[in-house]
Amino acid sequence: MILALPPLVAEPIFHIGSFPITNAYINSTIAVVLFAVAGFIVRKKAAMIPKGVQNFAEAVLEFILGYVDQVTKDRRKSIKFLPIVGGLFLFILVSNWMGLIPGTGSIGRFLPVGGEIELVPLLRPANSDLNMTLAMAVFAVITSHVLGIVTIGFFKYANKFIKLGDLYKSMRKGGISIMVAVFEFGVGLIEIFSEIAKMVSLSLRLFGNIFAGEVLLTVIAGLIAYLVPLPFMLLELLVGLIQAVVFSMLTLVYLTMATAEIHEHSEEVHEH
Amino acid sequence: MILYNIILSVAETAVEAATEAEHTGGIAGTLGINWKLFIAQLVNFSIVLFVFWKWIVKPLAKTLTERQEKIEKGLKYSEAMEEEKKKFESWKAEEMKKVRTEADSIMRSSMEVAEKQKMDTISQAQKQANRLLEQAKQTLESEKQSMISEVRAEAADLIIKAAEKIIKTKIDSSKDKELITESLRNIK
Repeated sequence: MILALPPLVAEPIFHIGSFPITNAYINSTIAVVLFAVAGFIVRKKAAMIPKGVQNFAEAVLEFILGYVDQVTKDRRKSIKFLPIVGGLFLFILVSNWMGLIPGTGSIGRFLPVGGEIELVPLLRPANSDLNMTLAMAVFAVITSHVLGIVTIGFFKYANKFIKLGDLYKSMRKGGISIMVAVFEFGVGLIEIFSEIAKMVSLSLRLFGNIFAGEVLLTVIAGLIAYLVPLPFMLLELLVGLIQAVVFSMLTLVYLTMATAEIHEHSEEVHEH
Repeated sequence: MILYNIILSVAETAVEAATEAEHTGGIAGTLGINWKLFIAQLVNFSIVLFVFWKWIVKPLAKTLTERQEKIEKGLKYSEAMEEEKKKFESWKAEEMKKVRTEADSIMRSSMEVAEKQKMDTISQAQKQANRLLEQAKQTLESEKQSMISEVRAEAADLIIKAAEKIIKTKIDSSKDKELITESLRNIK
C-alpha cells in the first residue's frame, strides 16, 4: 500500500492497563497542557493596567464576548456563558490547527494492524476522534439543560418538553385551546428527540469535517507531495476555524434558548 | 495508476470498517465509540474548560468589569467637575459684577461726601472770615471812638491849661486870639 489512509477510528498507540492511549487522545492531552500553560501565565497577570500577554488574552476575550453579546443581548448572560462557549471555541480551534502541524499523521510507530505491520501515526487531530467530539457535544447539551433548570426552575423548564402544565391550563379554558395544547404536547415530545439529535449532529459535523480534512490531505499528499497540498492546507485552516465557530455558536444558541424565559404571550395570542 | 491505488485503498478501508462493525457491534463500534475513551476525552475537555474558566476568564472578566466601572466613574467625576467649574465660573462673574457695582456706589457716595465736606469747609471759612472782618471793624470803630473821646478829653485839658496860662499871664486880645487858634490847631 502506497499510502495509509487514516482509519475512521483513532488507533491505540499503547495501553495503560486496559485503557487504550490513542493518537487522538495524545493530541487532546497536548492541547490540555497548552491550555494549562496559557492559563498559568495569564492567571497571575490580571492587573488593572494590562500589559503584554494580558492584553492579548483580553483582546481575544473581548472579541469572543462581542459575538456572544450579539446572540444573548445581555452582558451578564454573556459573561456567564463565556467560559463554556469561549472554551469550546478555543479548544476546538487549537486542536484543529494542531492537526495541521507537520508530523501529525506522518510520524508514528509500526504496529500490527489487522495482521499487517502498518505505520500508526503518533498524532492525529483530536477532533477526528468521535469520542472527543461526542464528549464535547454531550457536555454542551447537558450543560444547556442544567443551566436552563437553574435559571428558570425545574417545572417551568420541564414544561418545555412535557407540556402537562399547558395542557392543564387549556383544559380550564376549554374550546379550541385544548386541541392546540394537545398538538403542542406532541411537539414537546418531539423536542426531546431533537435534544438527542443536537448531540449527534454537533459531534458528527465536527468529526466529519476534521476527519475528512485529514483524509483529503493524506490523499493529496500521496498524489503530489510538494506545493500542491498547500491550498488544501489553507482550506483546512479555514475549515478548522469555521467548525470551531459553528460548534461554539450552536452551543451558545442552545444555552441561550434553554435559559430564555418562556413568555406567556402565546396564551394572549390564542384569545385574540 | 495512483488514483486507482487510492480508490482501491478507500474501498479496502470501507470493507475493513464494515467487517469491523460486525465484530465490534453496531455503528458505535464502527465510529470508534469507546466509553473509556469517551470519559477520558470528557475529562480532558473538562480540564480545559476549568482552566479556561478559573484562570483566564474569571480574573480577566473581573478586571474587565472593574476597569469599566473605574472608567465610568472617572468620566462621571470629570463631568461633575466640569459642571462644578461652570457653576463656579458663573458665580464668580456674578460676584465680580456685584462687587463692581458696590465699588461704584461706594465711590460715588464718597465723592458726594467729599464734595459736601468741601462746600461746608468753604462756607465755614467764609463765615469765619466774615466774622473776623466784622470783629475787626468793630474793634476799629471802638478804638476810633475811644480815641476821639480821649482827644476830646485831652483837648479839654489843653484848653483848660491854656486858659489857665492866659489867665495867669496878661492877656491881650491878640495874644488871646493867637493862643486860641494855637490850641485849636493842637486839637486838630
